[in-house]
Amino acid sequence: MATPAAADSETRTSGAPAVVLVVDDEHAIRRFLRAGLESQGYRIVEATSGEEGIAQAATCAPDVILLDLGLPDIDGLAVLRRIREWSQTPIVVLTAREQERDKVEALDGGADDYVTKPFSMPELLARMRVGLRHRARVGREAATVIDSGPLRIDLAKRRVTLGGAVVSLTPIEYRLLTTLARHAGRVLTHKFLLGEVWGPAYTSQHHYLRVYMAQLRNKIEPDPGRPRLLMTETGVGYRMAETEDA
Amino acid sequence: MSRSGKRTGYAGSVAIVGVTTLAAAVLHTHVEPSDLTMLYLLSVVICAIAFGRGPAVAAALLSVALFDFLYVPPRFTFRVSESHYLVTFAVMLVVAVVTGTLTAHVRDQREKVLLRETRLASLHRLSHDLAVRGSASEVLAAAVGRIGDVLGVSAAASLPDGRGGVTLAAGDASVVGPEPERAAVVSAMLHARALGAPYGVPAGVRGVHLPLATGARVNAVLSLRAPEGAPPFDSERLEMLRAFTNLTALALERCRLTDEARAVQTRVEAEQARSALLSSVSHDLRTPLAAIAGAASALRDAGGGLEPDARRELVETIAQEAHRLNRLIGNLLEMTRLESGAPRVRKEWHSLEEVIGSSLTLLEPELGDRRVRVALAPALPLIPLDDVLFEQVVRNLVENANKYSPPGKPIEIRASIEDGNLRLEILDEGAGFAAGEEARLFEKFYRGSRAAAAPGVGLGLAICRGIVEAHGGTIEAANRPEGGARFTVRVPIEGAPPAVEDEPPVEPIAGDSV
Repeated sequence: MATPAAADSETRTSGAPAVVLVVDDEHAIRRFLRAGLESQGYRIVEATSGEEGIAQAATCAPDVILLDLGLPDIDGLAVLRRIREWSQTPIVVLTAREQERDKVEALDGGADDYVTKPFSMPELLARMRVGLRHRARVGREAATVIDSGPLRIDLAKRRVTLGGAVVSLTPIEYRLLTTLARHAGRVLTHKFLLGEVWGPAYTSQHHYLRVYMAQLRNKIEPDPGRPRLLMTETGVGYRMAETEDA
Repeated sequence: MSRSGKRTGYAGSVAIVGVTTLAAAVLHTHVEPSDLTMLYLLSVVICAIAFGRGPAVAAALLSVALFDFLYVPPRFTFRVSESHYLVTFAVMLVVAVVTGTLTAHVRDQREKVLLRETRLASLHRLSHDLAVRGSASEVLAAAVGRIGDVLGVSAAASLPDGRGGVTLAAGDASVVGPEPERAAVVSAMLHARALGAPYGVPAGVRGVHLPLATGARVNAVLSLRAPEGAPPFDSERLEMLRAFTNLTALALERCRLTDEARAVQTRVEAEQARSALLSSVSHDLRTPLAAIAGAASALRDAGGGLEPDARRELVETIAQEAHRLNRLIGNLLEMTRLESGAPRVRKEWHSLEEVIGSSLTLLEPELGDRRVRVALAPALPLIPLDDVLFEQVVRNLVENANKYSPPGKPIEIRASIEDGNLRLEILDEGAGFAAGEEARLFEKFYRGSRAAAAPGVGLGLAICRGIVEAHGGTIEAANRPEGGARFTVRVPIEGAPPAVEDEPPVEPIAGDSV
């Protein structure tokens, strides 16, 4: 992926490069992030512990925070919660393998997304872009039409079309699809989706989600067995693939 | 000979002498009194042979008295008129003592021989019994049964329990319990000392507790208790008991040595497996690492002087080998977790289509343009499984199929419900595996004989088996008749899938129609 540097950092309204706060105690990770992100036009601020990260988040006004969950001094989840007490800055969590529960906890605790170590630079940049875009949209009037590849959702008219043809959806399918589409590119946890679509009383009824997701894929995906749009994040939730900048 | 036996002997002597006297009464008118002495002599000899020395002497004395009283003139008095009768009396007594002693000796000898024969026979039977027993508890069960039968006692055997106490291994529990019997068993075990009559008798101990020892090592304790009121063991039976315990102790020692040899063998094999594993794993870890380090140093040293193609090649190598290394470490971690035995299967009702879909998405870089046909039974219900783990099963099986089938050959995934189980099949059109490898394929670090060329350490299928078994299911491999391998996973479906109420049918979309 060769995104021009300007395209990524442009999200900052002032035109100055976007500031990324990296909170990770591993020197090698910080070094590779600095090299990778600076070449993409970001400015990097580093913190090597949780306390330092919280302090930096308050003082250097980052546009996005990359937070490692395994910090030497305090739990990464605690850092996340403390930053979220006063800041809405997008936070992408860096986790080690096989910690689905940690990922879910981080996402439900206010993280915008996660990448699993070892991750690739394009993967990380995609997650950061989604976070930054989401932040840039806050305050602006929400789009009434969401396009995702051949799929178009007209929120005002409550109409969904696939390659121009109208798709009939039940009310729940429609709510599920629009929730995912409004956060396109972001992973949404089972709990979040169930709360948004069915209501807070349903947040543990995961099988509802599985049944309706299958129905939705049958109506929208050309091959529901190999989804291209409604992606599964196993053990965590679902993500609508980001097909173009909305 | 017992007391009642002796009494019978004397009564028998009296009876025989009585019968002789009756016969003499009939005969004495026809024969000389000296002939009657022969008759009495005969009866004394008979008594000696039949009852031993004591009754024989008694018979002699009685015979002398009766003969003197009834037939020696003057009759019906104990006076003796002719002196040669005194000689007759003396001869009768001497004959009685000599024959009685001789016959008693012969009988003693015979009894001893018989006893020895019995003892040898039962020792032989015991040793034969013990020879075929493989374990200490089997040896003890056989010994306890045999010794109890032969000696007519209740018997039991105890083994050390490894915590300084003892545990009953065979026989009658009441022989070794409660206190102070139990303490005596422990003491016999600890100090290799026989306890109970006729050895040292601690207060209140009723049984006999014998350590079964070879050298200083006590392998078990044999406990015996004679029935209420029985006499204590005589030297004959004690000797027999000693022979029995020695035999049993030897058999136990044989078992222990066999076990020890087996344990050593197992340890050696495990050690060999571990070092083979270590060298295999370190080789597999080093190979990608060597490629990464080599490519990285080439990039660093060449600076800007590399052709774009060469540069791309090096960068690609680093990325690919890092991916491979990551997979390998992931597999090693997963295997370790599965083997640690922690139950971490979190079953929920899942759509199999979704689990397969996400596995295939993860595998896209490896699969390239290989076709994967997914054939799921229509209306497949939700299945109770752990999605994170089961995704790995599908991923490893498809990855395996991809690795071992030539490019262009499709992979097929089938799923259906069969007898209350999910039946999931992954089929390929590769070379399959050698006959007889079906079960070994799932052993960790086992690599199929046709797998040598493909990279891998032989963990993928072992992980599949671990996960499937943690789900209560089974996994098996077979060669397809038409070529290629088929892996079949069965997972039980317990309970009914939760209901999801139907929604009102399609809501017309508000606004303009198209």
